[in-house]
This record gives sequence, C-alpha cells and structure tokens, in this order.
Amino acid sequence: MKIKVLTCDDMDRLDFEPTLIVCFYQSNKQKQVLNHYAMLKKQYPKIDMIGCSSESNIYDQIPYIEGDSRCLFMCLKLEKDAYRLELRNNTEERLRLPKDKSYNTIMFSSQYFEKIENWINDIQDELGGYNLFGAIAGVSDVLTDTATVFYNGKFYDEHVLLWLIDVTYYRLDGLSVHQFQPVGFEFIVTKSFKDTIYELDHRPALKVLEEVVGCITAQNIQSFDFPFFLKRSDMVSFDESPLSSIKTIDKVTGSISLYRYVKEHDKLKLAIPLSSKEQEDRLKQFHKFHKREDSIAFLFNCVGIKAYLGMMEFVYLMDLKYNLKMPFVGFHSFGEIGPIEINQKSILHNQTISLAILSPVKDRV
Amino acid sequence: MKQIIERTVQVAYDYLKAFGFEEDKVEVTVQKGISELENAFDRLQELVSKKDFDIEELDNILHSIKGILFQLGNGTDGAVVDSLRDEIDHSNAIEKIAQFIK
Amino acid sequence: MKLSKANIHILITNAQKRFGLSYDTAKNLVKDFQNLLEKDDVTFIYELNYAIFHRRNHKFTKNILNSIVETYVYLYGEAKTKEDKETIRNNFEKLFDMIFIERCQYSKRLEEKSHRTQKILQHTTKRLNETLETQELMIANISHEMRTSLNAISGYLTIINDRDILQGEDKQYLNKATHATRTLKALVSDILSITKINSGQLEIQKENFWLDRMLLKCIDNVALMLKKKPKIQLQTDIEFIPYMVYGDQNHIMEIIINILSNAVKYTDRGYIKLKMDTHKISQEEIMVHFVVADSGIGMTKEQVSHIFSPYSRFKTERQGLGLGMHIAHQLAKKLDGTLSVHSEYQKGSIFTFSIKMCISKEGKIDVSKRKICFFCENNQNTLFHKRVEFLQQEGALVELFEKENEFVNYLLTLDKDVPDFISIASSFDGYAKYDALIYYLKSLPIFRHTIFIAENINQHISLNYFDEVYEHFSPITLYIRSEHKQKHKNGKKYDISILAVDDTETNLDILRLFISKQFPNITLDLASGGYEAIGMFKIKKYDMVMLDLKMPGLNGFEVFEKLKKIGPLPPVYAFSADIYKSNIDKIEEVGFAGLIEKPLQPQKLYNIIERIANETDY
Repeated sequence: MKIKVLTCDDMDRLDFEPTLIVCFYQSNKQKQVLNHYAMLKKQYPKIDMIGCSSESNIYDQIPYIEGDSRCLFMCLKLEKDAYRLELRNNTEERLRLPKDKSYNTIMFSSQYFEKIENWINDIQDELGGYNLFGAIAGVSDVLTDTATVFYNGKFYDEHVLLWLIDVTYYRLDGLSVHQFQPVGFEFIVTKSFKDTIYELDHRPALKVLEEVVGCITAQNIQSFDFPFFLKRSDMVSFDESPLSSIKTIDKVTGSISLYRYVKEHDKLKLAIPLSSKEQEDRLKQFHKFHKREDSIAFLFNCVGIKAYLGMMEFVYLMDLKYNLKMPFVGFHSFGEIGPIEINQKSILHNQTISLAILSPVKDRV
Repeated sequence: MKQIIERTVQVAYDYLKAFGFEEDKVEVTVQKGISELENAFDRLQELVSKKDFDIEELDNILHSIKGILFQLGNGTDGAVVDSLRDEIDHSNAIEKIAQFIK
Repeated sequence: MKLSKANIHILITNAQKRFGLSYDTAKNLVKDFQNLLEKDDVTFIYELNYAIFHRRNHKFTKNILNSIVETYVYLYGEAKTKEDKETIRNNFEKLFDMIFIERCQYSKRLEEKSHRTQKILQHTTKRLNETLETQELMIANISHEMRTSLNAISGYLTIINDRDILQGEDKQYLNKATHATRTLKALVSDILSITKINSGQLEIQKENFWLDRMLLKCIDNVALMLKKKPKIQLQTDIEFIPYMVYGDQNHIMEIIINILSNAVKYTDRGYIKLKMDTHKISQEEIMVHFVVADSGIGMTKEQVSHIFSPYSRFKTERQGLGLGMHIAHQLAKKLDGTLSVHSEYQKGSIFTFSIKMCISKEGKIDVSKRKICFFCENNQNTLFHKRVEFLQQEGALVELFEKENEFVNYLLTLDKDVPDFISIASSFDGYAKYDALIYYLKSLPIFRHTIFIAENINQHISLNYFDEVYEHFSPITLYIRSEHKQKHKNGKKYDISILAVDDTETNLDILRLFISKQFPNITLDLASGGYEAIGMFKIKKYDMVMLDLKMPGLNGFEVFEKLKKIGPLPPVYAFSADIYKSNIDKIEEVGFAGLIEKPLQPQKLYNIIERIANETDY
C-alpha cells in the first residue's frame, strides 16, 4: 500500500497515482476541498475521494492539531477491488449491505440520527463480525456550520458513508479508549424524548445532577465537564457502556440534552477521571499496534477529549507518533465508533480516543 | 375425686422418699401438692357443671391436675387425665370428666 | 537573531553539562533552538514539551526552566541590536508560554476537575453512609419486628393446630400456612445474616475454646433434625488435641451447623460422618479441617458449581431456601478459611471447611496419672480408640476392655487403684444393664470418687446412675475435671443461678427439692407466672431458666419472647408435659435450648445443670 499524507499546501508532493483519498476538513473549508478534488480528478480520473468534516483536524506533524488552516488528505494506493464505497441516506429504514465478500468498515456519518446505533450493530452482524470504526462528523461552529460527509465531489449532510475494505486485502483493527470510570449511584431515566432527558428517578434531570455536581454552567457544557456512562437495558455493566456528554441544558424544563438518543429505563452513572497512572496505562494500549509495516492510522478524538486535554493533547499525539511509528490522520468528532476492548463489538461513544489501523494482509494467497 | 386424692397421698410419700429426701421436706411438699390438687379439682367440678364453659380453661385445669399427679408419683391417674385432655373436644368429654371426678 | 559560533559553542557546552548529553545530541538540540530563534521553527518547543511529559521528573523540568532562563539571559546580553533583543524577548515569551504558562493553565484546569470530582465523591460517600445507616437500622428493626410478627403468626397457627378443630381441607390449608410461615422465618433469618455479612457488619469475636466441645454443640444443634430421620447414623471421627484454640467459635459453629443441616436435609438413609483433623503450621498456629460426608442424594457437576450461590436449592421439596450454603461460604471467607465440596450424584457429598487458628496459651490438657478405664464393645469404633490412644500419649493410665465379662469381672474384683473415670460405650440394651451395675458400685466406698460415663449411645435413653451421658463422644476436658467433679458430687462447687417458672406450686416445690439436694450451692428462684418471671429476670442475671410452657396469662412461649427483648438470654429450657412433635418443633424453632420433660427425670435435669455450670466455668 502506498501512502502519503498531504495538506493543501503540499499537494505537489504526491508522487504516485492514488486510488483513494480520505480527506478531513473543517466545516467551513468546503470550497477548498472542492477545488482540490477537481484538480486531483483531472489528474487522476479514476480516483475516489471521501471525507468528513471536523471540528479540527489531527495530523502526525507539527502543529498536530490543525486549527483554522489546512485540510488533510490521506492519499492511498490500494489494490484494485480491495474496497468499495457505499453512501446511504440516514432516513433509510434499514442498512442494506453487500454480502458478496467479507469487509472491515470505516463509517463516517454526517450527524447523529435515530437509527445510527442500530446501523452500527447491523453492520457488525451482517458483515460477519469484522471490525468497524468510524466517527460522526464535527463542526467548528455549531451555530453556523453544517457537518457533512464528502463523496466524490459532493457534500452530504444527512448521509452515512461506508468505506468497506475487503478483509482478504487489508486488516483493520484498533481500539477506543476513554479516561473515566463510573462512580456513585445509578440514576434511571424515567422521562425522555429523543436526545433529551426530562426526568431522572422521577425528578427533573438537571436538578438531580446538580445535587451531585453543583451548578452546571455554560462553561461546564463547553468544556464537557460532566460526562456520564449511559447503560442501555441490553448492557450488563457500566464498564461496557458508552460515555455521553451534555450538549445543552434547559433550566426552565430542568432537562438535559445529549449527543445521542436516550430511552426511558436507560441508566446513568456519573463519570470521574481515572488516576493519572491509569489514564496513561489506558493510552499505552495503543502501543500494541506499533511497527506495522505499510500501515496507516485514523484517529478520531472526541471534541470532549480536546477540551479535557487542552494543550496536553498534542503531547499525547506526539507520544502516539513515536510509539506507533506509522502515519496517522484524524479529526475531532462528535461521536466515535470502536470497541472498548479488542474483539468486542464496536459501539458509539463520546469522550473517547479511537484509533483504527489499516494494514495490508501479509502473505495473502 | 376423693379416691384420687387418697391414692395420690399414698403414692406421693413413698415416691418422694425413694429419692432420699428428708421426711419433713416430703411432708410439706405432699401437703402443698394435695392442697393444690383439691383446689384444681374444685375448679374442674365448677367448670363442668356450667353449660357454656371455656374449653381453654378446661384444658388448662386438666393440664395442671395431670402435672401435679405425675409430680407426686400418681402416674396412673395422671395418664387418665391426659387421655381426657386428648378427647376434650369430643361430645361426651364432659360426661367422662364428670365420671372421673365423681 | 543569528547565533555566532561562540554562542553556539557555549550553548552546546551548557547543554552537555546540564543534561549530561553527548556532544552530538547537544549539538542537534542547539541546532533546533537555533532554528527557533532564526527561522521561527517551533519544532524545538514541541520536542521540549514532549521531553518534559516523557520524563515526568520535576528536577528535570526545573533544570529545563533554569536552562531556558540562563540561555535567554545570556543571549539577551549578547544581542547587539534592538531588533535582536526584541527577537529574543518574543522568542523567550513564546517558549515560556508554550512550555510553562500553558502547563500552569492546564494544571489549573486539572485542579478544577479534581475539585469537581471531589464533590461528586463526597456526595456519593454521603449517600453511601446514609444507605449503610439505613441498612443497619433495617437489620436491627427488621430483625426484631419481622421476627416478632412471624413468631406471632407461627404461634397462633400452632394454637389453632393444637386445638385440632379444623378438619379435612381446612386442616390442610392450616398446615400449608404453618409450613409457609416456617419457611418465611428461615428466609428472614438467612437474608439478615447475608445482609450483615455483605455490609461488613459481621463482627469477628475470638475466644479460647475446645474444638471437641464445640463439635458437640454443633451436633446438639442438629439433634432434633436427626431424630426425625432415624435411618441416618451419625458417625464422628475427631482428632483430639491437648490444647484450646483461639478463634471465632460462634461463626465457625454456624458454618458447621449449616453443613450438617444440609447433610441431614439431603440424606434419607445411611450415614453422616463428621470428621475433624488438624496439623500444626507453627508453634502458634494450627490448620483445622472439618469434613462432613454423607450418603445422601449428592449433586451433579453443574449443581456443585452453583452450590455456594444464593438460592441454590436443588430439590424443591426439601426444606429451606438455598441460602445456608451461601452464608456458610461467605462466613468462611470472612474468617479467612475455605469451604469446598466434592460430590457424586446419588452417592453423596463431602464438604470440607478448613481454617487456620491460633493455639491458645490457656487451657492445656493435663491428664498425666489420671486412671481411666474404658469399655468399648464395638472394636470398630475408631473414634473411641483414637481417644484412648490420645489419652495414653498424654500420660493417662488407661485400662481398656472389649469383652463384657472381663470388664464386669474387673469392676467387681477391684479393691484398690480404682479408676478416676470409667467410660462405657456399649450396645443400646447394655446401658440399662450397666446403669443398674453402677447403682450397686456407687454404694461401695471404693467407688466414691469415680465418675461413670456413658457415651456413643446415639439415641436417647433414660439412665439414672451414670454421672455423665453423651449421645456421641465425650469431650477430652471431661478427664481433667476430676477434682472439680469431686466437689460437684457434694454440689459444693456449682453456684449458678436458676430461674424456674411454673404456675403450679407443686411443680416448683418438687424442682426445689431435687435441685437443692443435688446442688446445694445453686440459687434457685421461683416464679409462679410469666409476669413475675419477667420482673425477676430484669433485675437479676441468671445462668439458666426453666420455663413451663402452659401457663395462664402469658404462656411459656410468650414469656420467652419477652425475655429475649430484655437482654442476652442464658440457656432457657422448656418445661412441659406436652411432648408431641409440633410442640418439639416449635420449641426448636423459637430458640429454646432444650426441653425438660414432666414428670421430672432428675438425672436428665442434673446433666443439663452440670453442663451449663461447666460452660460457665470454661
């Protein structure tokens, strides 16, 4: 597999004919993306280009976190027929997938939608239990921008893009890691609608939470200060449940809105950070993927992680770079898809660092 | 009733002396026991002559009488009282009791 | 600003000295710094930041800080133009900002997060404490209230049953209700036990005790259960040790009683074998293994894997709710012991409970020069022979007879060196015969001080002349009590207090006669009714209570419940002429220590009093 990671400024460094380009762009950089696509398509007519908008991009070079400047292009020369791309409207009832081969999948969704968690489950069931990673697109400014996925010249804001990778050619593995542990008593969601919790234990949700954590301010929400574990009825323990972050609060109705849908009888437990040692040990799990030849990594970091780590995020990215020893790109997303433990099913998370590594299968017959 | 008490007196002295108790102590105990027995029989007599007696009270008195008889060594009459107690809910129970204490 | 060769040389030397770097590494470092200064290449800043993160050493960080300050002060001094000075100042600010200021801000954010976490944890701790307090209260109150209510239900159902006024289907319903109440009582008791264990309220209370005596108490506890299953033979195989141990006797008993009860429940015929052996771990500690093996219904592999889970009951028609083994297992863990099982379906089970205990510094056996005569008809009785061996090893002078005629001849021809103890383990019919012989022997002056013991009887017999009667084995400590026993013969030693309650004065008189004759030093208080008894119990501590069951006003059961509320109970014996199964069951359930039948059987009463008095001594 030939690999090159480029930014807008050094597109002329591309020295091979790519088959697929994965592009991460800030949501207000659509024009730039289109221009580059046009240029690349002219040069390489058979090229595929997919992408996803981000809150900001992640890169394995200084400054590691791309602020308000460049888009990132992961240029890959993959084997012919080694992959296929599927675009789906997220209003479709069911996710229908090709069953001709076995695929690993990378999934980009322009937004969170009601059926996304079912689709994540279906992909894994229908594709024979192979690995799934991905993310929900991000935006720099939630008020003005729209999150999108990009597919061969067009931006889509209500779609899911599936990059299905043939398992006989390439393996895809990785992990989602968070830095928290559940604490305290569980609260039961007794009244909710879509992504909003109205009542916990039959009392106004905001009031119940504030009794524990104190007053929740706009600053707290922006900083993603109060994540919690959300356990569905089909989950055994909070340890295997995804984290969720507060999107907004409503002091009038006493409700809280999340970045995902929540159902009545779901259970909630507050999350507190692990000790520094435990946090580092968790991140060291990524080191087990190091030194894979001809491999690339995709990193999907939650915007909450960015807010949590702040300036330390680039230090962790440098650490990843020195230990993984492979090129990586990624972005800050509004949801990450991956497994908490290797060989477990992938679920949708918030507040995680999710790493997906694409490597050619050695000694392929 | 008189016969039962006489039999009990006869048996009680020998019974308690056999355990090696001093005579004066035996005397006191037997006298007290007989006195209690007589009172219990009187209560029993009174009860059976009533039309609507309390069966629990009847059972209690029979239980007491049985206990005293056994404690004073009169196992024979004590066993009879026990069997009367077992049949306390039979229709002819009162008749049998009255017969016993005649 | 462009660095001169001299500047570069000084910076390299400084870096080498300060950080112990090689020349090449220092040179590369300075090169990166130069790029920062001259080309605004921030690689140096990133690498420095990472180095601080990677090293995590405050000395290293301090060194960096000092180095940066020194370097910039030096360069500022070297700068010739205003622009150069400006460059250096800006550069320094940038570097300092990225490495230290942002770090401080990050630390501040971490501190705020830590503060928020603290708040969450404090709230959680507060709620946990409230929950624990509620739980404690619940345990205390439920324990009292539920049991009181359940006892009332159970009591009234028994009264209805005793009156025998219901027939046919109604009687069946009553029986079902009675059975359900018993089940519920057992469940409440078990659940409260588990709650106590799981909420950490289990108090380990260690004391010095004799292992064989403890086992006798365990056997006593299941005696009534065993009586209902006459086809089961209880066998014992105990390793005798000459010293007391120090441990939590009550909880160990609870475990063994649970295992024994289980064995009785799941065995219909055959045997239940209780075995105990020990091995010394050090001068101060021994490992004790209690084994209960039965010939019961056994368990499948799957059942074995769930045996210690709560509610694991494999035959629904068997009594109980499956918490007993779970409780025993949890208790064993709390005591740092192990409880394991091996079972074969339809063949039986073996439960092993092992625990480390300290050897007590008190109470070592000294039977040297004690003369003990044993007669055992059954030469297959290994426990008996084990005990004989043990006593011989400890220095006792032992005569052992296995043939009846030899034994009897020996007893009848003795004229000197009479044994201190004569222990007889005979066939069932033999005991009555020996009872009569002992009556004769006791009339002879030479046997004045000899203690006659009947053991391994395995069922209840009325024996009048044996001094000690044991349905199973006799404890080793029996043989060190000869002086004690001597005194007791005259009743001089026992000075316990007994409360006897009976509405019939004659019964009380007879009791007083018998007790005062045999034990003149015992204080016997008499109460003629329940209320009087309660009043007396409140103001004086008794070592034993005898309670007539059938009394006007408060009956014996009611008095028992009221006494429980006053304070810790001594052994309370039911005193009754009404000996039938439902009454025995109820006596057992309610928690009486046992039953003294009327009419009074003096020897039985004396045995009970002696045992209680000896418990008080030990």
